[in-house]
Amino acid sequence: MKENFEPVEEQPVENKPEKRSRDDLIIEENEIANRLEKERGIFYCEKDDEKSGEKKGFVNILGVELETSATKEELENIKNELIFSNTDQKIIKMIATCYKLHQPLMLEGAPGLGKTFLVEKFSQMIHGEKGSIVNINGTPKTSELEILGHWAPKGLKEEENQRYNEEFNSVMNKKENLDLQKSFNQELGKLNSELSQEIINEDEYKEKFGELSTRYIEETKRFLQSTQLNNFIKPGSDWEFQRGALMESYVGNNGRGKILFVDEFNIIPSNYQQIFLQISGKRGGLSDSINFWGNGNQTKYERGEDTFIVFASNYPETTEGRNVVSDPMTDRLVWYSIPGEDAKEKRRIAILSDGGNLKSVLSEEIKVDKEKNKPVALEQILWKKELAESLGRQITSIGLFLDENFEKQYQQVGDSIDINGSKRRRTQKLELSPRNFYRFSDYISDFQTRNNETGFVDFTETLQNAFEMYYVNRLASPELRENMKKLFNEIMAGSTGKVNFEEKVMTRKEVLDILTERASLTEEERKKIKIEEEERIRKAAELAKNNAMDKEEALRKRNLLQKTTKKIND
Amino acid sequence: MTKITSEITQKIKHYLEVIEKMVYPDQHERNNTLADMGLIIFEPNSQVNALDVQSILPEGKSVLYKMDNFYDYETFVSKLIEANKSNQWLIVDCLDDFSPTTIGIIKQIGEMNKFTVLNFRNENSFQLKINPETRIIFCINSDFLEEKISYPYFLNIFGAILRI
Repeated sequence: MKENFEPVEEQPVENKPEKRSRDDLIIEENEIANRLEKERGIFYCEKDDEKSGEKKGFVNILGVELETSATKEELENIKNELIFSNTDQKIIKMIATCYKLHQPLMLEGAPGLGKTFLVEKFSQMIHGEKGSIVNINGTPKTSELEILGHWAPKGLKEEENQRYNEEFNSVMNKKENLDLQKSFNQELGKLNSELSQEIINEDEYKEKFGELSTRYIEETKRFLQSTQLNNFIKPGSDWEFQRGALMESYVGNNGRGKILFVDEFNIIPSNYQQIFLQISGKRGGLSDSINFWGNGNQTKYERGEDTFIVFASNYPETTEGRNVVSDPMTDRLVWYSIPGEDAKEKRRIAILSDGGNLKSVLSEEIKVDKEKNKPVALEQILWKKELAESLGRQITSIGLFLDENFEKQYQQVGDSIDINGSKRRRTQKLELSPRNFYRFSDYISDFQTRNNETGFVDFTETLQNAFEMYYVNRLASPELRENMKKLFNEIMAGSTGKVNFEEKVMTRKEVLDILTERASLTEEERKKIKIEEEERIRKAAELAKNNAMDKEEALRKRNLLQKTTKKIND
Repeated sequence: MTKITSEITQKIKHYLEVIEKMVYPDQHERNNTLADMGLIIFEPNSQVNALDVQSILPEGKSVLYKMDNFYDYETFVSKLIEANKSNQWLIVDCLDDFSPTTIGIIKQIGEMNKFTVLNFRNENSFQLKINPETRIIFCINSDFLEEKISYPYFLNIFGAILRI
């Protein structure tokens, strides 16, 4: 059962500086609040270190003050570049809070919300612009190699490295190695199950895991030494244990530690998810050390002061067939489930706001065989000038409609593949982020095609090309692809997609054609048409008036009108 | 090299052009722009291969890399560095599943056009920002994608996708 846990507050710090009055504190807090408002949520300040008396840099991120090695200029640069939505602010404040408390955080949310980006930016705010994070991207094949580390010969040159990797691949597939991995997995699984059933407690688990990993790592080394890979060890060289991401986050950066971001945590096999139990320490914080056998018989890895871990996963309810985060891990993390509403709203705003911001560019000339393919229109309709108005709104609304209907149909039907004549559900999954819509819109702005007969830009065809490239081609089933194409045609030219336009019901294609034609005319042509239209209306009005007068005259002659009735001309 | 129809050639050309030109503003950073990687999926009866794709680009514009070793992310990174240095494109012929490390690298490039990887060239932590002129195009057979690629969100890393 997952819920949003509030981070546990830190213990009061001893030897506090002289006590300030409540009024002083309120004034100071108000000043910070004002400054945060003025400085868009982030500001730099310096304070004297109580012990050394030296000045230290601090960054205040949405009210959370953290020590930083970034300079004021670096922070200003980061801040000036950042585009901070409300959801981003909530996420980054949560990251800052948990970092301050050394509590591991789990961000649960839809793809495309920029979780990776925000963790990386946070790291730069703490470590300066070059401050990098350590990454693990979960896959169903994530193993101890990525999390803990692996053996490799020390100091191989690049050409040797390539040969080594070729040989390594075949060595890893040897029965002896596969048996070794299987045995490790079985023992790890047993250990995890003992912990889940509370046969052993967490401290015992950590100790036993330390023993198991030590034995496994030693056996792995012995195995590697017995293979042809040992030929890569030159005199004076040896095997070295290269730290995996978890170990690097604890002791990397010369012992200061690093920020680790574990994305797609819930597709990591549950056995390996539980390796992360090592990070759980007192009071819900990160453990002070990890028991693990590494280089030089090191058995304990002390946590650096900058060590911090952020996990991320998608909503389990929307990701059928995925491993959910294994039970023992759930209550060791601070969960922040990015509200679905927020994610949905952010996506909608992103999609809608894009319509008015498409690039206004003139595409360079593209040489292609015009018999076979239509070139991109040389003179495109400028988005800001024309498309931002009614045509832009129509295109954006069609894009949004296609995006929603594609997703709806995909969710309803699912995608399948044909293996030797039998259909099965596809392993590859689709999750459309707002970024897909941005790409779709940019394509429409940059790659418009022209209708050779009318000479105008053909937005129906342009939209069709974009829809195929950014949506339909993601699907495996030819039938589903065909259905999506039919959906497009129905939306554009069928009755489903009909809309009210200038008091008439029309297909979207018809509306686009009218608006495109209007947007495509030169200023002179438009003036001419306006004059002609005014002239046509004037003539029609005159004709109507003359007809009415004729009818009036006829009625008067037949005394069918009262004498008091005014004449039309009057 | 196989003989491909001019229609298919034009489709690939158009697609490569889209990948080359589509540089869009980063949603999170004001002055940053991002480019997409490409994915070309060869349908079961397709006569086209990665070499054909490379041959459509001007000579010397790209480097072809056969990714056929699950564990070898280092050669992939080396090829990327090579392409990156000389403003070239990297055409990746996908012949094996991707290791979690490789997926991590590709995902970072897809999202931020840069990546950090541990334990590369005797460096504890190695970072590379992709040259704005460089593009990475993955070529993969449809059956191979569906049956062998274990990372279930592989398609989501890419923007425009071409099926031929």
